[in-house]
Order: sequence, then structure tokens, then C-alpha cells
Amino acid sequence: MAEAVAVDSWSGQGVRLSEVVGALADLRDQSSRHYASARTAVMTIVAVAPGDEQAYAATGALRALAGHHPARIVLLRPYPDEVASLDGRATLYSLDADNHSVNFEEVAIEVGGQAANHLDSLVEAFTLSDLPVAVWYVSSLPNPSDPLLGVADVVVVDSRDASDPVSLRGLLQLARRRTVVDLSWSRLKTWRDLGASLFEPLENREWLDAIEAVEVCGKVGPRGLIGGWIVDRIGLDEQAVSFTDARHVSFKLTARRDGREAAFAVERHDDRREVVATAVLPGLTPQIATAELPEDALASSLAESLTRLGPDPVWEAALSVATSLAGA
Amino acid sequence: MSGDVPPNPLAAGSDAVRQAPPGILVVVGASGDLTARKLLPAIEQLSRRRLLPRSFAVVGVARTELDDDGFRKLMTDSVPHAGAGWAELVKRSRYVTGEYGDPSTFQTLGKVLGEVEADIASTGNRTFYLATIPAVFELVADGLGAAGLNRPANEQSAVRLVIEKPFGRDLDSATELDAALHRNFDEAQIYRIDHYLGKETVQNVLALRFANAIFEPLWNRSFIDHVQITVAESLGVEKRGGFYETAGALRDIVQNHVMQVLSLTLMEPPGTIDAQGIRDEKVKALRSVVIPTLESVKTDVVRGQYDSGWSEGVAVQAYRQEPDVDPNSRTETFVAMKLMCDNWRWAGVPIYVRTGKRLPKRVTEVALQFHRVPHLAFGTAESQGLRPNALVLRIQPDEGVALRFGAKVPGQAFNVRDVLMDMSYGSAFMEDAPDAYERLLLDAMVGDPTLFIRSDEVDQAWRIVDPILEAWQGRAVPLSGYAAGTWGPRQAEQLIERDGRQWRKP
Repeated sequence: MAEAVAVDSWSGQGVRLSEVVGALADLRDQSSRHYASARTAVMTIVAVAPGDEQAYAATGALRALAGHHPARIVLLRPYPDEVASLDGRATLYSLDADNHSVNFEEVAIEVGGQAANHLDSLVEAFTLSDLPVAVWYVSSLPNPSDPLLGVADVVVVDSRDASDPVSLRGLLQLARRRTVVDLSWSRLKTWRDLGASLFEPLENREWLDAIEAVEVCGKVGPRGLIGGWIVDRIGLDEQAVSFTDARHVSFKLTARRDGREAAFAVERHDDRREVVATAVLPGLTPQIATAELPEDALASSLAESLTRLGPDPVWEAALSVATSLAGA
Repeated sequence: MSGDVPPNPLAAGSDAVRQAPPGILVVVGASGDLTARKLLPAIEQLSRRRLLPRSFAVVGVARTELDDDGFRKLMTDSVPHAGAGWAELVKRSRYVTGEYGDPSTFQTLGKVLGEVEADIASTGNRTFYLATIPAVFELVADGLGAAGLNRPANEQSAVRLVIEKPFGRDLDSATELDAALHRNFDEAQIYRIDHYLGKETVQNVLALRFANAIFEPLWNRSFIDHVQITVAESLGVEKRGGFYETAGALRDIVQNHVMQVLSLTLMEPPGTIDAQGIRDEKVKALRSVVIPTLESVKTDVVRGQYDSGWSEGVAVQAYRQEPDVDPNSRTETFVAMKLMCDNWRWAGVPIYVRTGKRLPKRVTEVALQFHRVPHLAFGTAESQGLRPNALVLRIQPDEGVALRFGAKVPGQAFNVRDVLMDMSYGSAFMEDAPDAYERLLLDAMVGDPTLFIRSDEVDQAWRIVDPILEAWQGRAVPLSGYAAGTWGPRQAEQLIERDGRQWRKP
């Protein structure tokens, strides 16, 4: 897909929010007059990204998303410890998606001082009427008392950002109050699909009841979700699960029956963008399946996550067990 | 056309058909804020669009000591980037200083009007615009009457009186004001302005409903579940604390703007789109609104007042800390209410109204939410978040019409999601819409009262609002606080959630 192209832009430093709102309205108006372009959106996406690197990654993913979920993008960069100020930028983008033009708007706000703790008061001026608002916390999990959550119909998080089991507990509490979509969970879909596919053949599925040990590698959040998912779905004893820290997620299930052992594994190797699933059953040739990972993992997991905007009971159950497994 | 002067046959088919007839616009309260901020720029726009004839002049009247040149400077300063014709119009303008209670003020005015009419060769059309505080409406009308300025000088000319809201503080005072105005002016001479009616998008409610075959058949209880009217301001009372203390959201917004929008939304199709046809139907619609009782006010009306909070990234103070506001004030800055309309079309359809200051964004809209589909064939997971259809008339800002409906999300699965079909006026019509005051001033001078409020409309609106004011006199109905920058007190949420519904996010 082609990259989004900036059609027109405005920026101001040390401005009031109403100036940004006015500038955006003017840009839309001028754009409509010059290009007579239709502008349709299905949601407002608010991204909170304090650092340059996170902001860059987030905007790249969000602009790429326009072909699938045309949205107004509001990028918030809060700096509560700096002096009170507000810098704004409004940009109109056009994207050629499958031979049709998609137009969308992006507003970037850098806010310093106390207002950075009240981002909700900045956002509603930009939310599109009657459409869902997704609030994406880029690179950190939200504080449950963050007032910005009140604006969100959907909260987008990445459980990979969970630094410890306690933060997973906070995420679970949040999910009980609001619809939360987890980018890690979307990314892990490849692992989950391959893991499920290992038990599609009937001769393999018979081993499900005999699983005795589950080893999961990865970072705190993703490995917890995978462990929680397996325990919840097959009704396993939590004691059977062990975790190891690793860069990429992988998991291995060991089953024993009648003195024989079977192993089922889903792994990603460091140097390849593919996930490999292997089933080794006694007396049989190992079964292997692979799946390629998308080039732009962030954009594709975001697109996947935003396809459904309701709660995901399977994820919630997995998270619930994950917190229990982690002793949080 | 008013019929005051014979139509210009050469102007047939051009915009000039709605040009104001020769005459004088007399602005009473000419040194005030409304004149400088709204009226003079609107007159300049009319001049720029060549909708004012050469035989046209402005005469200002006010208590402030000014001479003709001082008023001309005020006119010049109020419109910094005026068009070519403005300087000529300014030159023809005059000013009268005087107290409104002093008969000599109006005698002098009469003399000046005679001089100006001789200068510009006007046939005697006079439009008196009362840009004053309401407390002096009666005084001015009596002064005009006593000086004989309330009647046209000849059969070819017209005299009209334009007044701004508020039209009274309650039904009794509105009736008294009407009686006072009618002592000197006939109802047909009185033009009551609610500038909301001058907005293109408010007028578009009529176009949408009665110029399209697809909407009106759905515009009733069989298809519409409920109506939501939102008039939200992100600003606080700013420098108007003194005024607001005497008004409150109910008088300032609900009694006039909301009731006008409500009546246009609920009214039956008029036989003709003219002043009588439309205003008759609006009054009928308002008469169908169920008058609240003391008991129903307790359950169906919520009043609130903003506390301190954060608005648009700025820490803002509570209403009671605003300048000129009583620190113990019980004036409401927020009202949410549920109204019902007892007629064949709307029986059983609740109308939820919400208005307030220091809300998260500035927006005015009417939303008609349709019934849910009788059976949703899609799976629960696939249609999560799918809401009933809604038709939204956005009055300000970003004026337009939007229709919310479900559409399939591209992909292998059959996920369905809300999308918005969004018509923006700015995009659909390249020409700038006239400002509300520009439109209404021209209508008044032309003699078209369609977009002005008739006496019986004012009365009926007060009949709906009065019981609420009465109920609020005591302490039976609490005044709830809400943090600035939020959508009002929790009780407002409960008001609609009790019916299994939710406020929209406009």
C-alpha cells in the first residue's frame, strides 16, 4: 500500500486548543473546496506517546491503518514535568488504498505542565461525532485512574508493556470496566492459530487430556497470556506451567500417556519472521507447520485489534489466569 | 417581498429580488456590544452583497454621548476590512443621544429620521432594532409610540420593531412585555429575533424534512425511538456573569433556542413554507409538548452548576468563582430534561434535551435515533458495538447532516460496524452561508417574518418552562455540581439510563 501523503498542514507553538480546532476546521474547509474530496471515518483514534520513538512508530502505524480503518488520528505527547505550554499541528492526509483515495486528519498535541495530567480535556474537541473513540497507550499500560479513559469506548494496550505481574492485574481490572483490546493478543494470533492447528488431527487431539507440562518463553505479558490461555482452554492445573524470560514468544506442551511422550511446540526463531509449529508423536514422523509474520507487525496488529470493538472473553479469561499464574 | 414598494421589474430573476427596500434601520442601543459585534458587520455584509439600496441609512440611538462623527467612527472601527460601499453608507448615518425615558429623545429622533429620509429619498420605511437590555424594551416602545414613530407615514411604507431575546423572564412577564409592545405596535410589526433561526442549518431542518421523500415517512413514532437535542458550550460565562445570574441555562437556552429547534423538528408539514404556515405548525408542535408538573420535574429534569475542572487543557474555575457571580449562587449552568409530546406522530417518543456551559466541546445538534432492527441476524461477537441508526442534524460547528448505519468491515469475517454518511455544508456548497444576523436583518427590512418568533410561540415556550422554574424555586429539586469539562452531573446520565438509553457523544 502507498504511503499517506500530507495534503495540507498547520502548526503553532504556544497556542490555545481552540486555535488548533479552528485550524483543523479551516484545513478541512479549504481542502473540500480545492479537492471536493469525500472524507469518511469510522472512528477517532487517540494515541498517547510521550517519546519521539514511540510517537514515530505510532503515527506510522496509524497512517498505514487508514486504508482499513479510516480514522481521525489524535496524537498526544504529554510532558507533565515541563513548563505549561501547548503546541499543535493539524495535517490532512491522503492515501491511495486499493485504487481509491482515503482522506484523513491527524492532530498532534504536545502539552506541558499540569494539563498533561488532564488529557481528557484536550481530546473531546477533536473526537468525531457518533463514532467510537479508541485510546491507544503507546509503550505503557494506562494508570487505571487516568481521566482520559473516560473518553474511550475502546482502550488499546500492548500487554508486552507489562513490566511485572502487578501491571497485568491492573490491566485485568481495567478490562472489567472498559472494552480493552490488546495488541499482544492480536500479534499472538499466529501462535494461537498454529497451536490450535496442532490439535486438529484427531490422533493429536487425544493427547490434549494428557498434557502434564507447559513451558512458555517470552516477556511478562505475552508469555502470561499464552500460559493463561492454555490453562484456561484445556482446564490444566496451574502448577503445570513454567515461564522463562525470552525476546520472542514460544511454548511447548509435553504430554504423557501409557508411558509414552508427545511434544507440541510453537516457536519463533530470532533471525526469521516466521513461526514454526511442531508436533512430535511417538512412532510418527514429526508434523511441521509454519506461518509468516507480517512485515509491519504493529500496523497489522492494530488493524486486527480494531476490527472488533467489543470485549474478547477468551483474552479476558487468559489474562485472568495469567495474573493468577504470576501470583499477582 | 413586503409589498411596501412596487417590485423592480428589471430585478426579476436576480438576487436583488430580496434587496431591502429604501429605508432606515434605527439601532436603539447603538453604542453597545451587540451593535459593534453583530449588527454593524451584518449590515456591512448586506451592503457588500448589494442587498441594500442606495436609499438606505443607519441611525443610531443610545444614552452614550456621541455625535454623528463619533458614531460614524464606531461604524468604521467595527468593520475593519469593509467593502467599497461601506464608507458611503457610513457617511449617510446619523446618531441621536438621549435617555430612553425622555420623550425628547424620540422627538429628536423623529426629526433626524425626517432629515435622513429627505436626504436619501426614502419612502418612509423604518425598522427599529432594539439592541438594548430587555428592561428598556417597554420604555423604548412607549417612547416611539408617544413620538408617533410607531406608525408608517404613508400606505407605501412600513414600520417594524425588532427585539432580541429574552422575551420576559417567565410567562407572566412575557405576557406583560407583549401587552406593553402591543400598546404601540401591532403583532405584525413586531419581529422577535432568536438568532438560531437565522442559521442556515436550522432552516435546513425544514429543507431536509419537507424537500425529501425519504425522511418524512420515517419521521414518527413508528421508526424513531427517541430524539436527543444537545446545545453544548465549552466556554464558561466569561464576562457575562452578571447577566447569567439573572438568566441561567433554562431561560438563556432552553426557553428559546431549544424550543425553536424542537418545534422545527416535531412540527407537521405546513401547507406552504411561508410565515403563517410554518409558525402555525411550530405553535401546534409546542402545544403538543406535555407540560411538566412539580412531580415530573423532580424525575425528568436535572439542573447542574459547573465546579472547577479542566477545559480544553486549561484549569478553569467554578461558576461561583466567576466575576459578578454570587459565591452562593444557585443559578443552573446545565439542564438535562426529558420531554414528551402528546400527538399522533410523537406519542411515546421521549425527547431528551441537554444544554450547558463548560461541557467538553461546543456543539449543537438534533439526533433522531431509530428503533433497533427487530432481529439482528449477525452473531453477537460480529455485531458488537453496532448501534441503532441515527440521523443527526449538526447545527454548529461543522454544519451538516449525518446518517449512522451499520456496514460490513472488509475481510473474511462478517463483522458489522457503525459508519457515518456525513454531509458537510462546507463541502457541499462552496458559497459562504450568510451570518444569522445578516439573514434576519434583511428579512426584517424586507418584511418577511418567517424566521421570527410570534407572540403565541413565546407564550407556549414559557408554558413548558414555567413549571420547571416554579419547581426550582424551592429546594425540592437539587442543584448538582459537575466538573468543568465533563458532560454534566451524574444525575443527567441517570435520567436517560433509567429509560435504557444513553446520551450520544456528539
